Amino acid sequence: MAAILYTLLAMGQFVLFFGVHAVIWRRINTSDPKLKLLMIVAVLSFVISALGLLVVGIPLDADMVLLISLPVFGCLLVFYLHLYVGVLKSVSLRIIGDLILKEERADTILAILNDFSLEHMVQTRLDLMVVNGWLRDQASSYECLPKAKRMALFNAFLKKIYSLKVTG
Amino acid sequence: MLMKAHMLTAALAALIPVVHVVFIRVLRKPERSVGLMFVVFVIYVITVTVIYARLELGLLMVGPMALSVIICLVYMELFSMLCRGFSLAIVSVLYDNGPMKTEEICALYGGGRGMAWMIEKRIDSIEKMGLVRRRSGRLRVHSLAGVLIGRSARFYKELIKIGPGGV
Repeated sequence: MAAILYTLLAMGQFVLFFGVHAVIWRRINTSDPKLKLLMIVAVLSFVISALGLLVVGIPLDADMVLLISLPVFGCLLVFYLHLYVGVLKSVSLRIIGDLILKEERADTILAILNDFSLEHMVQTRLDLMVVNGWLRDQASSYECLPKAKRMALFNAFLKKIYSLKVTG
Repeated sequence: MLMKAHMLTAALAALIPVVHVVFIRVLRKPERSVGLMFVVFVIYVITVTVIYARLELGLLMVGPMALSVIICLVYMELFSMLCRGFSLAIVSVLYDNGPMKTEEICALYGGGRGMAWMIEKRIDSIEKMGLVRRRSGRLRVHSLAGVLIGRSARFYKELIKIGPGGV
């Protein structure tokens, strides 16, 4: 019975998180993932709702909150993050979403390629990596900074381990 | 007992990448790496479930079970980043070829295949999943699943106002 109650608590906490997240995101209206803000909303939703229940006199077992509610909430959150980042960044979902709006739900491959503005896609990522200290922009020529070099080496190592030849 | 189950779940997770790599190398099927990852997940979840049953956790197993799902999802995300990560691929292009301009990065993306190849690769994936069909140079949303996924994605993007996505 306790397991069910603490699972329901986690589900309630997740609903609270999603509600707050949706309200904030509708107000800020951004295509930037803002993952740090998302994590802050998640942590605050979990902690404040648990404390709120204690304040209104509903006794909670700390062990059960940590060992049942927290992992269930975390599981829902990670599922949601997959969905959120997937919808935000996925080229495949963008293609399907765009096709739905077209006549006969179809378009030529060439038109799809044109819709994407491939250089703009790369430029968006380059700008973000410059801001985050991964790359240096010198007269529109980009260069890896030490953090990016380490990541590239680690990436090459993992590709070798997993026998992956072409990625991206 | 519940804490022990969580610790065993976390400890066993260390074997996921090891078993995954062994499967890919022994079977010599790097192109099936994603499918093999799900096989490893199934083995992992079955193993931890047997452990929970032995620990007689009953319904309390929902906690450690959720942890095992978190671990699988995080691994899936990291592996997906390795296979298809856009920013990671750009960093690798720059590291391998030295400083360059945006248009040069586009041309060298994906081992010199270019950016159009990346879009083609995504189209191939959704075609293999049966969501779209390619015919005479045109791409059409082919199935009910494709329509539902496309509409749901658009609805969600409208709901939280994150723009068209895919960039």
